[in-house]
Amino acid sequence: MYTLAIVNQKGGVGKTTTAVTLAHGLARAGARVLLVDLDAQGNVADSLGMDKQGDLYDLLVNGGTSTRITTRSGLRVVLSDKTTVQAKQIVMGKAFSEYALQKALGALNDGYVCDFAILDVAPGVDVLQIGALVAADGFIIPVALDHLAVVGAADALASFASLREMQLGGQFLGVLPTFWERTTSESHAQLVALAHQFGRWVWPPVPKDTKVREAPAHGQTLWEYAPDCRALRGVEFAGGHQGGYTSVLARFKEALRG
Amino acid sequence: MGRQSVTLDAGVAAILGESETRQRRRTMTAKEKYDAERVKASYDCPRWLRDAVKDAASARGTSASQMATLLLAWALAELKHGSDGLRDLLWDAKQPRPDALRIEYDLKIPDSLHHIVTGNGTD
Repeated sequence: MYTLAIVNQKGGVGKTTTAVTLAHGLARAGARVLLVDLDAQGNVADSLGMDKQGDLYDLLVNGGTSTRITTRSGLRVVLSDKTTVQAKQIVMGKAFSEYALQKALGALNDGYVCDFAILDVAPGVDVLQIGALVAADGFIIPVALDHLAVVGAADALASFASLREMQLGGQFLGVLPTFWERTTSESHAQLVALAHQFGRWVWPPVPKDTKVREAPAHGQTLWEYAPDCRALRGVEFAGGHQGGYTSVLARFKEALRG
Repeated sequence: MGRQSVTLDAGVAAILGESETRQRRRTMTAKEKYDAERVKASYDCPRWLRDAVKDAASARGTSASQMATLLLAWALAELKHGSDGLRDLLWDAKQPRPDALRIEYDLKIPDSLHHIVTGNGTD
């Protein structure tokens, strides 16, 4: 099992959309995928048209080992709800709390063999975020193309780098620019700033798309709600397409190959 | 930004390149935009034809370059629409060139056309 964490300390940058879209995209390609919601807001459930559940609490506190089946072939989930806040407090009080998630996922994997676990990590810095980075084999940082998010991206990476110095945490795979607006100078300026900071680690951006906001309201992933939308396919560009989650998936597979 | 010193993902580099072109275009004057869309093209032609283009342009208060471009575009449109006159002209103008590597035919402007354009037929 390869564990991928979608992380950024900042909220509203597209972490849940990225996690849900990648998870379902991989499942559609034939992989067995487990999507784990580490955010007490429980938005993964909303995005999949499911009810919020305290699966993560059960996993971390009660030693539960079950995953939840979805209507999507190859995709299982561990959902969150407000009980995740209590779970965090309980885990924090335990020794080696940073390993709690890794251990729990390992136990899950014994019962359900999956190819990928995608962790949708809540914003902020807490025991679950650190636990996610410890459990992950690789992580992606989605960054909205606005000034504050771009400035914060360096801070996010710095804190992950400090984990790496302690021989903890997965491999940094890249920065994923989100909410890209092709025609605005601000979006361009922020993409330039990211490229300047992170160079080749910046992945082609995901275009801003109203379908991204609409899909969760219908309880559907982007692949179901708008398979031809810009957020998935990217924008037309010199006879081809650039950016979008389709290229993110391709890029992720490329990163796995080495 | 000094992207020369930063290695970028090919997709990101393409996007940034396109955005920069777009941004630059936004700040251009109308004349700069007009010029940016044009390239210099050079074709060999007889002296009488060059002079005829110059005269036609001068008579209509425009430049020889713009007159030549307009006439060329018109003729190409005719060619594309399958004009009978142009088809016959091309047929008549064909002169085999077995000694040339890059082309099969020379296209020689028929004397009849030369007469019409210049009014005298002298070179």
